[in-house]
Amino acid sequence: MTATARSARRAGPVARRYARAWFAAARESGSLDSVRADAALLGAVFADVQAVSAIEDPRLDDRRKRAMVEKAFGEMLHAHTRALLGVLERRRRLALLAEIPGAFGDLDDAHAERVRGVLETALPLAEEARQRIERALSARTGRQVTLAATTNPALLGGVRVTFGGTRLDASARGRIEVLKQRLLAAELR
Amino acid sequence: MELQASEVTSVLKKEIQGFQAGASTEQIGTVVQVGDGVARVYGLDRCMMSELVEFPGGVMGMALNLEEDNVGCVLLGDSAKVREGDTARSTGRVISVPTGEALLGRVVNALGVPVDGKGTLATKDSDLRPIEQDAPSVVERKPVHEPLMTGIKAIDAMIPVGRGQRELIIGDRQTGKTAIALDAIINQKSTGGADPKNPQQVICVYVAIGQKQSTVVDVMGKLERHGALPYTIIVNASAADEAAMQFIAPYAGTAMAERFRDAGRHVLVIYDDLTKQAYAYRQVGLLLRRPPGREAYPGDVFNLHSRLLERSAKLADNAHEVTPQKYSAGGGSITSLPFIETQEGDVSAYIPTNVISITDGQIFLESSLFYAGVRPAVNVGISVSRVGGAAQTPAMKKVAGGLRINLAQYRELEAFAQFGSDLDKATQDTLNRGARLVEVLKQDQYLPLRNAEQIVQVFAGTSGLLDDVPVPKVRAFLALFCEFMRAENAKLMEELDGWQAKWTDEVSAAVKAAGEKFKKTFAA
Repeated sequence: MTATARSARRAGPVARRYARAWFAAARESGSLDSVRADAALLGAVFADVQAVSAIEDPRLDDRRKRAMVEKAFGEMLHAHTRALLGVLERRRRLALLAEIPGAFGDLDDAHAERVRGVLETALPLAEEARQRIERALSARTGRQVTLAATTNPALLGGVRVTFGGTRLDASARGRIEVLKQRLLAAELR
Repeated sequence: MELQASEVTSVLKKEIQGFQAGASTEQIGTVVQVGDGVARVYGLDRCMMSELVEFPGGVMGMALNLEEDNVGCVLLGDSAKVREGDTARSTGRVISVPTGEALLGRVVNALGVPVDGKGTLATKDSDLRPIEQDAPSVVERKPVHEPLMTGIKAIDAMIPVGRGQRELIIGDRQTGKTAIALDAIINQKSTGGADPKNPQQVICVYVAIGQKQSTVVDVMGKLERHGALPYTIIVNASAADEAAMQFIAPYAGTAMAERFRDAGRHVLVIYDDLTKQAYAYRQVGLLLRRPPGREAYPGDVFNLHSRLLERSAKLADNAHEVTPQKYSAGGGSITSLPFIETQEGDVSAYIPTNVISITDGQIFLESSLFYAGVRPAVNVGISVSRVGGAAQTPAMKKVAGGLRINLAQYRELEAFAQFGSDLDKATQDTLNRGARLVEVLKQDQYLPLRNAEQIVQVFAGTSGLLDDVPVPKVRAFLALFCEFMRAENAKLMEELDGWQAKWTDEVSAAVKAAGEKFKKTFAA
């Protein structure tokens, strides 16, 4: 699952609570890998707008929604994931299923000390350079930084990295902005 | 300000030469919700309380709620420019406003930006002060001991205000609260000749919160007409401004006042009015989904006012030795006159009781008195000054001593006045005296009186000099009597103007004799 797909829908506090329980259950039973695969699968499914509107449709009751999910993926899912579906149905919270996989991914990243981020450059960057930046940032933050590379011509040159609420701006655009602020603030007397 | 193009170029050249372009690191977050002047931002992990947050389009916000996964900000600008998904940036700064003499005579908004069309302020970055400051500590303070003359007889005689005091002015709408503030500001002209450079001149700050723009224009015009603008700063967060601006305006005004206080000057700050600030804070609190308490105010609404008014204080003469990094001279003071507007005279509502308990006394204005022609409409029965007595001039204290009790007796017997001649002599005397004392305390607007005039007029009332002057003629008598005293007894009047003047038996006899002499010419 990519960082952008996850940030498309931000999990609310209730979804996070279910995700925490799901994650803890998976970790304690040692089945984190297969549950992680389930989360990735469900995350990919609910990256689609139509899937989200179906699961959040108030006209469908939760039993129908669960039956839909079970019918499509029932065989593939781990016992913990199927149990989660059961709990969500009983509590009539199946609409949260669109948000829970993302929250699970966040927990998984935090647990593994992984940080996902975006690397922006004006022109496409060589894979080797991206990895070098990842390694440098990982060494600096002490966490494993994974960056998704994108191009943004507005930067003019240089790179801009955004990860975990921090933005490292070494782009030409950023420097021009700083210079502009300084010139505007210069005292003329 | 005239500038040569070559000078500008050289300044800019220096800036560019000194410019080191490194990578910058900043904390960012994403706007998840915006509306009603409030934005919720996801991210901003290391955001501090009250920190300024920058939104796209130059809109600033202040972080007020730090929650598990989001930061609640109030917007200090147009919220229409901020959209969901925008990137917000934390700045590491708190809200600061420009301070100093450049602001005198100006009208600024709650962020210190001029709104009077008289150009930019010539202030430097070093003039910026955070709007939230700690109040002076115990060792930096001193009891209130100098008077702050308002020029209003009813107040200076019975509810004296000292420098460093917080005196609440409370009353319904349209009872003359702002009129008292204006008179008090205008009267400060007498302290230093309206010259802000004179260290004796009391600096005034008028903070208008949630007022009509037209009222603020009116206030500014009146101050200008009476020559009071050169030593006054007007901070305006009008009814059209964002609730957040109305909420921070009193703190901004106080920060501007503190600059003068910390340099050993005396400042008078007027908050007109704190009820509207509490409304604005309630709005912000509810929109940020803080739990509503009594009357839907957030739980810390008491602290909202107490931390503001604690900053008004009289500093010790050696405050600059105790805390040299904060004060450049000791002995400064901030006197504040916070306003509270009541509904139907209900002083037991939530905000009025809070502010009554915070302040060092209150001046209660009553609409029934106002419409009965008693202006200023001060109800002397329930108005008090808890610390001002120590600051009253000795002569005024002596002369006004019996005033309050005489008026109280008059109010008690007033109901019997209609029985007229059926009353015994003692009662009639009390009624006669009382009716004249009420006349003595009436005063026209924009005519603050000097100390000597106030003393002489109050003395005329309490000593019985007026007892045979017809009630409708009392005010004319007093006005002419003061003129007469200034002409005939100029030296004595000048002495009485001073703070240290004593009211000896000789002075009393001299004024009494002059009064009798004047009465003959007045009657004739």
